Amino acid sequence: MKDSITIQRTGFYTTIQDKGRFGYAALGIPESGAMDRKAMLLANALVNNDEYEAVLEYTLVGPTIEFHCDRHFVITGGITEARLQNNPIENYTIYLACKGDILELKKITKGCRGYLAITGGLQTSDVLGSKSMYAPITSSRHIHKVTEILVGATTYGTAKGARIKVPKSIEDASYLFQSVLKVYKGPEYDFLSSHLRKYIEETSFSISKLWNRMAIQLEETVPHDTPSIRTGPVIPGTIQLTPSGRLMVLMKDCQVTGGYPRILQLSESAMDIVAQKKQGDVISFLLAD
Amino acid sequence: MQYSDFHIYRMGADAWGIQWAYAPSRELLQFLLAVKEQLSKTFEVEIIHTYTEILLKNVVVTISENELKDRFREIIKTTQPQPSQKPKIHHIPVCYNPSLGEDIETYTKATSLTIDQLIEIHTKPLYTVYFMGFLPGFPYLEGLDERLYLERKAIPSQKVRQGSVAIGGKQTGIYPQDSPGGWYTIGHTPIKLFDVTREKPSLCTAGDYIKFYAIDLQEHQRLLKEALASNVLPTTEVYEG
Repeated sequence: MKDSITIQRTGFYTTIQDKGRFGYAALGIPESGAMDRKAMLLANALVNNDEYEAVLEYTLVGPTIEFHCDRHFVITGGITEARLQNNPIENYTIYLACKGDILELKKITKGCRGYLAITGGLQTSDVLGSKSMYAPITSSRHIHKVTEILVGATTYGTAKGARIKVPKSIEDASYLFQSVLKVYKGPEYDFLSSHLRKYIEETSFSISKLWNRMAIQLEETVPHDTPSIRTGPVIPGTIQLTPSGRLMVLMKDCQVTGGYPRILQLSESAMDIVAQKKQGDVISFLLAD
Repeated sequence: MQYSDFHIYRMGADAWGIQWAYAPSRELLQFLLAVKEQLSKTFEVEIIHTYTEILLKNVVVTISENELKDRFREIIKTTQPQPSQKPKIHHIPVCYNPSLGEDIETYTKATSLTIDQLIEIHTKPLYTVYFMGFLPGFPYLEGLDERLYLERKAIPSQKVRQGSVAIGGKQTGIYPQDSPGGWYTIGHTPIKLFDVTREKPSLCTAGDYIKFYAIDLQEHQRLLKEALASNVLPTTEVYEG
């Protein structure tokens, strides 16, 4: 029998993610991939996986997982209340789960998305070069209850049952507390009036109830008369200004083209920060030179 | 030099866009596709194009910003607008029966056309596929007769069925998947535009042509059954101009 885990409870919204899907945007296929790329890379590095091995990405409330094999694992990203065999465990720390063990990932107390990397990686099939879930490219858009997922052969060291504490320097979750997003000018930035530019730079925006893996809409509206554009290319991190004056931050599952002015573009570090924001959280923009 | 009026912009740390100051046309599209082909020889990155723009994603270079821009300019300047492949024409069967095109009656009323007139006008043009966007495999088509223009619906439908053929604003399109949508559904095609299990998931490629032809309910049923059993592709031929 192959090594695997079973997702007993799914949590709020849990998907399998890796680096994402590249080379298919011309077919209208979104990039996808981990929303908080840094957390995914760190998780994989800690358990000695290849950097883009597939991980679980969970949102607000994590899943409950049964291990059918012995595997080291780590959780990164949003700070998660977690229990292994009913004992509280820490984030950014490597543990060994033994065959039959139950890992419960509960509430995220800081941030929005958590990442679980298991040594050997999750081995679902590649669809167009990626395991990242996005319907209709993959058959389901998220993980369903009682799903068995194969895991790869372990590549982790010899430590048996050891609880390896990660050095403080690596355990850097300070970005979860950051709210200033470094942005670049988008192609239509110049369309904005100077008044509008100033307003956008000086306003604290809050995350509206419309947030998912495609886009995060901000609550505050910006009155403007900037016209829509001829449909142009967009990428994750593009910030569009909708006709109603909402700022829409495109995220990893966004479309490849769009017709709203692209006023700003997030830096990569800002993508990781905003991926950890949920409804009501506040952000502001810092324009890079 | 053709199409020399363009500007280069940077989008974030490593994406670069080129925007041309011309109205969309089939000629410009051919030129953009040729530029894209040339760019991909130098830059091994993902390149997206739309009506008048090209975007290169994840460009990692060791040269300066100005040198990179010069390289883009040089490539654009030396590009011959001759795409290496001849476009194809995909003949797409559409059933315009009101039982499948749920908005057809509202639509014909609003445009003061009969269903027969709509079918005649809609099936006449060779539509050009400009690019794919919105949904995987969703072709942006140009060539809709202006008699068929109609502002999109005030309230979008929550679910437009896969295969729906629709009109919105100055555009017509086919939904490759179930999706919310604001266009008027005027018919349905049993042909799958996009199927990830196929070697080529998307039926269309930018630059291809689409031609619709009308089928009745019986033929629609037959093709739909066939499509369930196997992968039915439409008749496709090479466009010889």
